[in-house]
Order: sequence, then structure tokens, then C-alpha cells
Amino acid sequence: MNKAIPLSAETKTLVLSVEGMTCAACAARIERVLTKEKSVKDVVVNFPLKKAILEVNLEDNNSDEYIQRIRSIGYSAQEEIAEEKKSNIRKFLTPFLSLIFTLSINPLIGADQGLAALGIGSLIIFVFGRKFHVSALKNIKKLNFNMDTLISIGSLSSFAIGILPNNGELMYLETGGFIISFILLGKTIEDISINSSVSVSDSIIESIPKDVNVYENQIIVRKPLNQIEIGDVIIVKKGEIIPLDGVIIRGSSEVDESVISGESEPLTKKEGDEIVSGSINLGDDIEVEVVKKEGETTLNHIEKLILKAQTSKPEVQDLVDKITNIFVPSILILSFANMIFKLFVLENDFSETISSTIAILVVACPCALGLATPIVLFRTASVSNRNGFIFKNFDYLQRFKNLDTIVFDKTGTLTSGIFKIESISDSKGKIVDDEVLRVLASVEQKSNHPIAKSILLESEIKNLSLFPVDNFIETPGIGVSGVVENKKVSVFRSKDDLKGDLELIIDNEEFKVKLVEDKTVNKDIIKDLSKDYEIEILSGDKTEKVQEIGNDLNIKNVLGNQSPEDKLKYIQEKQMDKTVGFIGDGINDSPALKQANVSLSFSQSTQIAQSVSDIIIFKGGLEILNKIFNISKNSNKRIIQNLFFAFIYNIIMIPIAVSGSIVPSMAALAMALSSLSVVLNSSRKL
Amino acid sequence: MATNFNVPEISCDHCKSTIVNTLSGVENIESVDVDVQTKNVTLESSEEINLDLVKSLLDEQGYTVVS
Repeated sequence: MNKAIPLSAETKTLVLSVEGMTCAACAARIERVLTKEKSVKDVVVNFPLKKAILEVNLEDNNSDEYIQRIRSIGYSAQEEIAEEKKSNIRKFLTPFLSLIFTLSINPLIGADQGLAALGIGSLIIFVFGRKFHVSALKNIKKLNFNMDTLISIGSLSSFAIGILPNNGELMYLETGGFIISFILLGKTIEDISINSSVSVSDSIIESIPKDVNVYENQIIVRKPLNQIEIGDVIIVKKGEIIPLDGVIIRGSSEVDESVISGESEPLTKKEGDEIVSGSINLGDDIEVEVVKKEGETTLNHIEKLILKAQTSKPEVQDLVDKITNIFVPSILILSFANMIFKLFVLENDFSETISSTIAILVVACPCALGLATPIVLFRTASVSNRNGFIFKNFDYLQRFKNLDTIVFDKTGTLTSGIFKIESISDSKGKIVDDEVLRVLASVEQKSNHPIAKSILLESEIKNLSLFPVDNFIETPGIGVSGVVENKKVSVFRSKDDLKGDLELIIDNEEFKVKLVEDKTVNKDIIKDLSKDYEIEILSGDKTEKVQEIGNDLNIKNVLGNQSPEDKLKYIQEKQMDKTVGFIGDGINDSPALKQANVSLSFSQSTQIAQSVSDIIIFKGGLEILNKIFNISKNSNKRIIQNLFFAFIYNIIMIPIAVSGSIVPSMAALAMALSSLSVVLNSSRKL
Repeated sequence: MATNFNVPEISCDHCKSTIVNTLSGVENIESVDVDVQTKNVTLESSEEINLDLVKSLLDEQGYTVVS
């Protein structure tokens, strides 16, 4: 079911947005139901994205049937595109009306309906453009000049020049109208591009059960998590997430701590061992004495770290704001100087001087400014969707141009968490044949341990048929033993080897099983990236294991044994003189992801990692990293070029306005040229 | 009489309520009990239950019945 969707000529992809899923099991259930529909070739339901992606025949128009099918099992669904289109049309209504009204101004003036033109002009400038004036006013009080100031000054000046006595340059009203309309249009496009990226729910905390089984007067009762006190004994069943930090007082089990510590192999925890919240109980039921209350657990602590990183992140000043903060005062000073000079030095006519002064303000306002950024963002969003990744926010595009260091998490990012057998050798170090693997797989077939599963997968790939196993015994944390083909077989972890290789004994013969983690990338991808970036690995796993992956991938800077705090601190220190990108998937990566200048995770990553990342890769893996980086860099470049085009024509017009020879049609020409340049520049391939 | 079967896809209380809602009201079924941990479903009834009907109803909802 979960295979990648092939792009075939005879099929099309249908995307439904699904509401009402509460856990990954819901997604699996919808998948099962839809798979049974004969006309559905393939289906993937993504829980965090709240989407069902169906592969159906080209001429298939049964989407209503599928929606009905999803509804019949208790969820609601609707066709995504249709819904988006509808609300998008509504969003475009205001800019569209504004534009139509603006276009009607000049014909009205031509028909001698000056008053009507003035009325429409005021409607656009004061009603549609209301929010820009309000924001500008607020900012001016703080001596702040941003894009809104520019829009406000430009449009108000065009209105002022229109109503000047004796002069009546009503034609300028059109310029004011265009300024407001284009900016509104730009804002709408920006809004849509951001909304079409994902909204991911906030945290893994949500997947922790709200109620837990707890002993009360020696009987087991179910109680809400927040009523559990320190010293209470809770029962955590197989497959459940450990809700609170504690110490095991009865039972022993295998526990997956990978989301918290990055440790890729399950750990054996027995009576007296500490156990952390957020890890998953893989083995038997255990009884845990609670040592930390809800709100104070390890998981809560990580949440706070993320919050801290969030608030300590330097505010990136908007490029447009940077420019306008210089541009606006300069224009104001220029026009004021122009007025003083003409009035007192040249002793020009008063109303003529006022008119040319305001004309400077009008032509200086770059109306394509409002389109410059949104158009590129819109393009970037659609191109990235096609390539299998999504931007959660676009602020980061500016941070991107200085990116020089990429830090990878290991487990779940560079490795898939699955193990592979690299070699099986006898006591003399000689590599043995598959018959030994066959015996090994036979004895492992009854175990649920991830390593056992990996061994079975390996034997399946090699098409080995398994022998039955007798007297099977599994000792958690140590190994398994049994009798296969009348031979006594036992497998256990090497004591002298920190990397976690296995020892295999068949009767009295000893073998060494060397394991490697399955990598998600190859050397070439890393080599390619290291041409432009410094590459590092930061992992919670054992240093030896991290080192091994580093050696395999030719990455020199590797650090193991890193707690979530260590990772956060490391990134902070790096940022003193570097711009850092971080790629990770776990809860333990989340503070670092939040802190990094640019962060990436995957749609399979934990929800919390997704919620703090800037970019989420939903199709394919790390091989598209270079593409992501290139698209990001290009769109950043494109934004800067667009800003240049938005300003340049207006700047050229300023001296002409100062000379007093400006006519409204030239202001309109400047606007048309800059808008056209911006649109054309944005439509080039990213 | 009690009818017992296993539904391996049961994973949370959400599944439990779906199954209870689906099977409650089916002819002869008096009560439906779902144990999320063991993934077992127990039906109480006065007469024999049409198990094929139960199977197809649950199949419709995306669950498989293993007895």
C-alpha cells in the first residue's frame, strides 16, 4: 500500500483532504478500505498532512464515490482542488474589484465625470487601502518606514494632487488606484502560496494516551494523566508510549528510546532501571513507579527547549523593510527640499510647486513592489510541490543565501533504522556461505527484535527457506537460542564490541556476524553537497556507531552521544560564525531544528520535528537536497531581482518629476514597465 | 451465548467505538465487547449469530475477522 506512486500515463492522482483522523491507525484503515475499490490502483493516506492520495484511471470520475466510502467509515473527505479553488476565488474578489474600479477612473475623467472618478478613487484608496494607512500611521509614530508607509504616502499623494485647487490633475488618481490594487493582488497571492503549504499539528504530546492504568489500593483503575502523582505505580502495556518518567518496579522489557535519545537499537530495561517519557514499550507489560509528574517530564522539558529556541531565534529583518526604511525618508527629504528650493530660491508659483512636489511622491512609489515577492513565492511553492517537498514558511529563503554548514541527524535521517548483515565470518575470519545465514535466520524467526527482523529480511531477499526451530528461548537484551536441524544454535551480542555485532554459535563452531545500518544516502550525494557546504553529523546514538556511518559516507565531523540540549547548544555555537542547516526527524532533534537557520524533516518524521521545520520532504529522500537548495537559492535571487525591477523605473522617474515636466501618463508607464518586468522575471524557470 | 473472534487491525479506542457502533443493532446481537489490548471482540447473543454478516459488515469498515 505504501509504495511510491508511479507516474504513469494511464493514471492520474486524486487528492482528497480527510478530516477526523485521530491516529495513524485511522489512516491505515482508510487505506485498507480504499484499496478494496477495484478502480483504485494505489492509495496512500497521510495522517499528519490529512490527505488521501489515490492513483486512479485517467477516465475515472468516481471521486464522489471514494468520498462517500470514506464518510461511510466515519471520516469526512472532500476533493482538495475543488475546495481550494472556491475559497481562492473569494480571496481574489477584493483585488479584482479594486483593479476594475481603477481601470474605470480614466474613462470617467475622459467623459467629464470628474466627480465620479474622484468618488471611485477615494473608495479604492480609503476603503480598500484602509489597512495600509492604519499600519503606516502606527509605524510613523515609531519613526519606522516600511512598505505600508510607501503605499500609504504614494496613494494619498495621488489623491491629494487630484483634488488640488486650480490644478485638478485627476489622472494621478489612477496611479493611486493601481498602487493599492497591485499590492492587494500581491498579498492575496502570497496568502495562497503560504496556505497551500502544510499545516501540521503541534506535537507528539498529543499521541500520548490521556488516561493511564494505575494501581489504586491494589486494584488497577484508569485515571487521567494529570492526576497521577509521584510515587504512583502505572502499568504500561506492550506497544504503548511511556507517558511519564519513572523507574521499573516489576517486569522487564525492550524499550525504543529513539525518539528521545536517537539510540537506534531498543534498550533492555529491567527492574530498577529508569525509563523516560516519550519512549515506546516494545516488549512485555511493565509496572513503573512515577518519578516526575505530567508537566515536568523529559518530554515536557524538550518541549520547553523548543520554545526557548523559538524565542531566541534572531528576527530576520524583511529585505523590503530594509530598503524602504532608507528609501522612504530619502524621498520625503528630496520632495521637501524640492519644495523649499523652488519656492524660496527659484520663487516659482505656489500651486505648481506643490503639484510637482506631490508628483515626486507619487512616481517614487513602486507599485510592483507588492508583486515582487509574492509572485516568486507562489512559483516556488508550486515547483517545490512538484518536486516532492513543501515549505512551511518562506522567511527562510533570505537566510538561505549564506548557508555554509549542513548538520545531519543519524538515525532516521542518514540511516533508516534497519540493519543489514555486512558479513558472516568464522573464527579464522573467513567469510562463510549462505547456509550459515539460513541457520541464523531459522533461529531468529520467532523473535520480534528489530535485528531479528532485519536478518529475516536478508534471508528472504536471498530466497533461503527456513528450518523449523525447537526449544526456542529469547533472553531480552542478550540474545536467542534454539535447536535447528539437531544443532544447538545461539546468537548474542558481542561483549567486546561496542558497535553491536553479533556472535553466532552453531554446536561448537563460532561465527561473527557483522551488522551495518541501512543508509538512506550514498557517498555521491554527500560528496556533491560537500563541494558547497561543510557537512557534519550530530547524533544521540553511540559515538562508535556514528563514527562508522561518518567513515562510510566520508563525513569527518561527527559527534555522538548528544542529548537534545547538546544538539541545541552545538547549533547555537556554530551559528556564531556560520549559517547552519539541520536535517533531522526525531523529537530529540526538534530543539536543534528550531534553532537552525534552515531546517528540514520528512513527512514520516515525528510530528514535533515536522512542526518546527521550515521544509518537509514528502516524496523521495535526501537525494533531492541539492534540488531543494538550488530552488531556494534561485527564488531568493529572483526576489532580489524583482525588487530591483520594482524600484528602478520609479527611481528614473524621480529626476523628471523634480524637473516639473512629469505627466501622469509617464507615472503610469513606469508602473506598467516595472510590473511587466517583475512578472516576466518571475515566470522564468526556477 | 458468546461468540469470540480476533480483529488484528484494532489499535485504539477509535476502532473500538467504530466496531461497537457497527455491530450494535445487528439482529440477535445483545452486546458487543471490544478489548483493545488483546484485539478480541466478544458478542453476546440469545441465538446463533450470522457470522458471515458480521464479517462483511466489519470488512466494509476496513477490519478483518480472524477466528
